[in-house]
Amino acid sequence: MAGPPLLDQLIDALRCLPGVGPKSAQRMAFHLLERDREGGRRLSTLLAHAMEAIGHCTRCRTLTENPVCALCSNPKRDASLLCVVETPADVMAIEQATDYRGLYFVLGGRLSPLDGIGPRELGLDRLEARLGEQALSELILATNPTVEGEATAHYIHEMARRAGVRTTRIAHGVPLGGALEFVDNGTLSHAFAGRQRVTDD
Amino acid sequence: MVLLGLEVRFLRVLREVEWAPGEGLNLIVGGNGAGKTSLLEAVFLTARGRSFRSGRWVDLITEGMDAGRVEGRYRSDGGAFTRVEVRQLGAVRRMEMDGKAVQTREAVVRKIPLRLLHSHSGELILGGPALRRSFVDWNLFHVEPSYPDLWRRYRRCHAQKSAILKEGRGDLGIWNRELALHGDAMVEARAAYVKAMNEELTHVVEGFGPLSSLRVGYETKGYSGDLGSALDAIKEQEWRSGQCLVGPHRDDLTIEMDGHLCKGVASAGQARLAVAALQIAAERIFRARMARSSIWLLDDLGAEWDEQAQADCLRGILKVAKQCLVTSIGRPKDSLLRPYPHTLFHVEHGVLSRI
Repeated sequence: MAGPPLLDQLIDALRCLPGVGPKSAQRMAFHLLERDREGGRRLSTLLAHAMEAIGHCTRCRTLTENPVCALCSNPKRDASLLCVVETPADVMAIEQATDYRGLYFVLGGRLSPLDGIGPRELGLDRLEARLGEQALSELILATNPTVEGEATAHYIHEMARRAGVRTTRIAHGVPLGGALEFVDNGTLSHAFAGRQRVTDD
Repeated sequence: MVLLGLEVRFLRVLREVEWAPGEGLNLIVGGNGAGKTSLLEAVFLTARGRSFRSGRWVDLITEGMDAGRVEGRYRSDGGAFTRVEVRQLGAVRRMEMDGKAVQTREAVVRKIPLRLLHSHSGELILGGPALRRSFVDWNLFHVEPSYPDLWRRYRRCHAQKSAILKEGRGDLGIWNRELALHGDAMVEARAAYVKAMNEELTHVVEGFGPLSSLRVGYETKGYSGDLGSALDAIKEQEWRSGQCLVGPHRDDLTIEMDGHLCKGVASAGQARLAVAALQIAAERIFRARMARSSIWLLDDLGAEWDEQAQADCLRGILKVAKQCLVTSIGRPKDSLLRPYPHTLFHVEHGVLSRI
């Protein structure tokens, strides 16, 4: 039985990567086969291993190879703070950019009835359970400022309110180094509404 | 904005045209099917990336040819030059602005403001509410920088809520909240725009005969007050119907003369003249707020209009426009053209010549 040649299958398989079309897939395949077989072998073993071994943290739903991720099992993290984000990439972004020391909850998306994504798909039942069992001083809603992100934040805010947990929403505003006159009106009005008292230190 | 030059290859009856219209009034005279409207269509294509005539894209290409091309060279009021090129290969259309592929037509529309009046423009008054909503929305798009984002957010939210209503289950509350937030802001922006328009209209329609009492109003359909309460009150009905029943996507403009809706009392010619007046009022707002001006396309000057209406319309447009491209089947009386700097062109079998 002769299926398509192995090379064609490889090129076709590479196209599952985001932003990779037929041309790029072909270039990648040729590069690995002609110039970097060693890299290709390493990639294939790691890919096979990662696809089996990496799953979701049972606590926060981020990607991890353990049942509970390193962040969730770190006793030095402040367990009274919980930050809700859309993706594991958002966790990394916040970890790298801020001095936040609390824990995370990763939704893996945002509410979108158009795509059939409701509260259950985002694991909100698990979040609700967690709101009940854990003494939280603050739930930080760090979903994106899109229509869906805002709706999701509001949904979770209502959930937290029922559980008696205080929620905050990350501020959206003027980028550092940006000039006010070039900021779009929506952002500027958000930034203005979320203005803060100037503190004397 | 001024169109400095237009090059056309194989667009409908126009096989090869090079056109350099002047500032002020440009009148193109020619018989039926000579290519007058196609010339304006070519201009429109470079400014909007689409045609104002219905039909398939591939029909734009001259019969027997497999590709067509239009290039427009523009100069803005600030003196900046812009070149837009549209190529039509079979059913595929490619658009470039200043040598770069155009990702969204929005960028071109924003750069090259253009107003069109054609023989069916009266539909804005005589036709359905969707046309009137889009009239306000497009004008706001040009003068209110935050409006496009508001509009997109509302649309997105509306689509999400519609999905819930169609499915028959889900949480309407959170989407209603977002809808109300953006919907109220949209209504506020539209109503403020309509108010500004009425102020301008009083200057425009002086001497427009029976249209001197032309007024516009904004009407929220099926509710009054804030959208949030209206959405709460209508929830049950929305579940039953499976549709979003109130909000800016259902609203309408009321366009009145002598205290009556134009829709019921205006003749076809009056309706078209009223639309011209609305466009002129909108242009006055655009000029005042953005310090820019649109190019005007007026297809078939004589359609439904007597000489008085033609004169009124030209006077109104040329008071606000730097350049107006007008087509006409016959050559109008000199008295109509004399007040304005003008250039005359003749088109026959797709060949353009200066008179």
